[in-house]
Amino acid sequence: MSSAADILVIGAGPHGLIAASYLAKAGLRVVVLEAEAAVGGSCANTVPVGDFAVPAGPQSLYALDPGVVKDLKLVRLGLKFAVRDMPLVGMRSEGKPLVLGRDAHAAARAIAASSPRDAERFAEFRRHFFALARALRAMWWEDGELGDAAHRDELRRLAVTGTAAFLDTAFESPAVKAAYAFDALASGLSPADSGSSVLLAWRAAQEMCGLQGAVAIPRGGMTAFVNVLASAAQAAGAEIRTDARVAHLLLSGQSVTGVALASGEEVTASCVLSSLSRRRTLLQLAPTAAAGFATSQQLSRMPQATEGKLVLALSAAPGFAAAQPTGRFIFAERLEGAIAAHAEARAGRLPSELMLEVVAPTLTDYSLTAGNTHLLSVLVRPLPISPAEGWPQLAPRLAEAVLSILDHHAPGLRASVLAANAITPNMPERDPLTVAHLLAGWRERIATPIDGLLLCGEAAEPVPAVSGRAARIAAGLALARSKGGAR
Amino acid sequence: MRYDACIIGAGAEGLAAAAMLAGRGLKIVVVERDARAGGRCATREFHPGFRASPFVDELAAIPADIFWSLDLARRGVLLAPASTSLALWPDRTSLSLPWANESPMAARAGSLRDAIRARVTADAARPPRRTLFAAREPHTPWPGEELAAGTLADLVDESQAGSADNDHRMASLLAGQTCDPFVAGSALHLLAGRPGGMPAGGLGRLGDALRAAAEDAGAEIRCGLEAADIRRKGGRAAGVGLADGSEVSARAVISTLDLKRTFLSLFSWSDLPRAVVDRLGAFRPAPGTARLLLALDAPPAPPAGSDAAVLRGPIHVAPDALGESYRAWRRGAVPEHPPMQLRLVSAVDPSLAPDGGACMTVTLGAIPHTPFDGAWTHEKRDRLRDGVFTTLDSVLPGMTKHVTAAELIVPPDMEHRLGATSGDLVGGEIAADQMLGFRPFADCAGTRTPVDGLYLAGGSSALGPLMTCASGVAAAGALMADFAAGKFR
Repeated sequence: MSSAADILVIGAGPHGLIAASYLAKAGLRVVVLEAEAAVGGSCANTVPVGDFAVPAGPQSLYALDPGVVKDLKLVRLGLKFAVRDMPLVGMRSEGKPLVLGRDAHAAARAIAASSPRDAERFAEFRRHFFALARALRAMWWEDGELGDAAHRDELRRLAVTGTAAFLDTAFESPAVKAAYAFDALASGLSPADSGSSVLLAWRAAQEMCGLQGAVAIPRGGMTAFVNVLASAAQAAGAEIRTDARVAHLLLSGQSVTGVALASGEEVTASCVLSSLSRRRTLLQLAPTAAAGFATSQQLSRMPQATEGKLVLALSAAPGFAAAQPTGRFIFAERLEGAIAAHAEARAGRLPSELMLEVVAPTLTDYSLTAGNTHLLSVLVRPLPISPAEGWPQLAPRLAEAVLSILDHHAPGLRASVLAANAITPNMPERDPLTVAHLLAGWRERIATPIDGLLLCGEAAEPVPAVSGRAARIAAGLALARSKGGAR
Repeated sequence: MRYDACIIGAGAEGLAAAAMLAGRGLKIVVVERDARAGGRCATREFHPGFRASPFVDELAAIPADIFWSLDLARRGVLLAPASTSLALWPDRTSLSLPWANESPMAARAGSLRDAIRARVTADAARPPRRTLFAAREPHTPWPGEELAAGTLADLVDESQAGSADNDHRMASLLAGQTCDPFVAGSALHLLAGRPGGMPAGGLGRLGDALRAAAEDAGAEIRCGLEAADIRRKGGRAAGVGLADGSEVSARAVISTLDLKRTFLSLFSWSDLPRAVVDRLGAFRPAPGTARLLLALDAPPAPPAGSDAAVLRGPIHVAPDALGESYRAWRRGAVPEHPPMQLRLVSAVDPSLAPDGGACMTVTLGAIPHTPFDGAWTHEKRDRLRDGVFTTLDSVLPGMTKHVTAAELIVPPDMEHRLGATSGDLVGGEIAADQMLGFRPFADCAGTRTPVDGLYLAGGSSALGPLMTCASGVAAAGALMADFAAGKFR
């Protein structure tokens, strides 16, 4: 049994759906192949917590490309935001939380409580840091290199500087350093790794004024967002096939010719966009030799650490969120603790100091749960990839450790827990993040060694995010390719 | 009287620079704080009849061309490089040959070091053009830049398998230094100079030979004089003010002190360009080392199954807690099991101990300059020494019974005696943001500094951690190139 399409998109998550919408709008015959029974991928509500279900994947949108919203008419299709511009709230075991939002003066005042020197330097830090972020934005918007020599020098320096060194120079207060360090733990990097400070600059670039949404939560959660995208794709004419797991890619020489589904069916197409990770796309879906020896070697390396998630259903609003319900709360005491925790995770142990990012979507979006129940989504970093004792044994200990941190900051929280569910890491979905990846151009991140196979998912984003940027650019490249082929 | 150049510090770098410049007919003066020239090239009697080098046992190799042009062989410098490296664990012994010079990794490190030196030398020979609308020169990658993203553990693992073996190789590669081998950027330690061998008669002999080379070339070496500030005229260095109130006037100044000490002790804060102040604040010292000098009444017995020759090389004791020790140092804690390297120096050079006796040095890595709970006290020193003795007895049973005298040197002692900030003998941590093109300044890598007429040699300059004498010679080269271009008349 076989069928044909112009372009295939693997995965009906947000990235795949955005790419498919663009391609279908351009008049191509697009088929989205989704392994599960419903669209959404990691944004679908698949994880049960008590009476509710939440997604396993990202808890917020980072810097959603306003072009995507406009081009795909997402607002008309029902996209609304529950929260935008979420401030970073650094929680401390003593003293008031640090609210590091867009208001620099308020942030400086908050910092002054713990360190007047840091408060003084905060404005300068922000200027410097945002100048770097602005330099990176050239790489975000335009497809290519930075034009300006001063910025190139600055980025070259950043590309060898560890987050720890960067923050140690900027601040003296452990709370400020730790709050900023959390983002640098993404994708298994340690704050001590050279070049990890580029990650901070990327986050700043995404959070800067001008990038729509910055850190935002859609109304109805990530699931509602994906449903809007699915209707956009269908409205544009893309076909979404669920329960269509891709078994492997079909190649002729070094060019892709289609995919074979787990059911045995073959779908031919001259171009395939994958929203899976680079590792999974090239090592599991492509024939062994197709990626080439060097690439396979590089891809088979696991990151040194990973992250996990704990979702809680509470019978009362968490106490710590009262002052700033829209924040993303960072529970991290010390930068040194983050470095040590990373080393412990690398050695396969549950770190003695965990760093948490907590988002409480139900505080601002009443459509999510009924009545007084609140959901708390806790992102935990860093965690071991393959713990010595195994995840089934570790998960309860992880939940216990997270609860004791939260309960310390909001006494009584433990008693209000109705249900909890720990989501342990799914590693083949993640590629290790390298400095080269952080500073590569879009084309380099999207392309693969196989002709006609492009990445459009998180693997093509500079830093893990649901921004739609990678999908949009990948769709553009695929379109240019198919037009070139037609001529 | 006006000199052509005043060199601060009569260590290996300062003396080599002095010899090179004086040999070209320039009038050179070297000012040295200590009563004796040589800096860390020192050997002293720490117990009657027992001599050892207090700071390090051997320096990074001196490039062959410098070695010969300073005529060091004729001046009696005879180097004995180690041929084996031993690792001892309390429960097992592992013996392996160190990377002989022909191993692929050593060959790679060697050629990278040479390429970096060639780059620094070429930059030194070319005075920077400063025009009003100077277009930035395009960035040319430094040799070894690819190491900035790699980890030492991966680098070592590439060549060998087996974790105990890897631990030993890493310790041997680090030669007493400490880093977290799993952190990106640690691969740059590959560049750090391999020890060049112990000079017969101790490192002091090398110091004497370098001094003789400088003096024979016509340089003036004035010991017992501490530099207090760098005099500036018209925005450029014009001499050195001394602590006794006198002044040395010179057309240019070469400092062999580390970056922080050069700028913080010799300039007033407000005189410095903003970029320099920022850099000084961000520059991080390398983990400190402590040294234990031991006088033994009998040489220790080699571990069962090996012959006495294995004791001639470095001995690494249980080298498997590198990353942990490094993180402890970052927190300001004395690590529980600091990286430990033993040298039975009297086995290499019998003149260092009386007949029948033996002299051993213990180098401990990752020792904080100021522990988080306060400065070093007698109790803390005793605790560190007792910990070392316990470890020694676990790997060489009964060894400490033979100790007749022990002297412990901790980082503040090194700072006090050598003037090295934080007792850091490397001149700044070996990390991606302070090596190669970023050492010491991003736009002034190599030997020139943002202050006209002031050149930096020594550990904090680009070549500092890579080889001995090379940074002094490179600074001399930059100075001569600038003189030839008509600067600083």
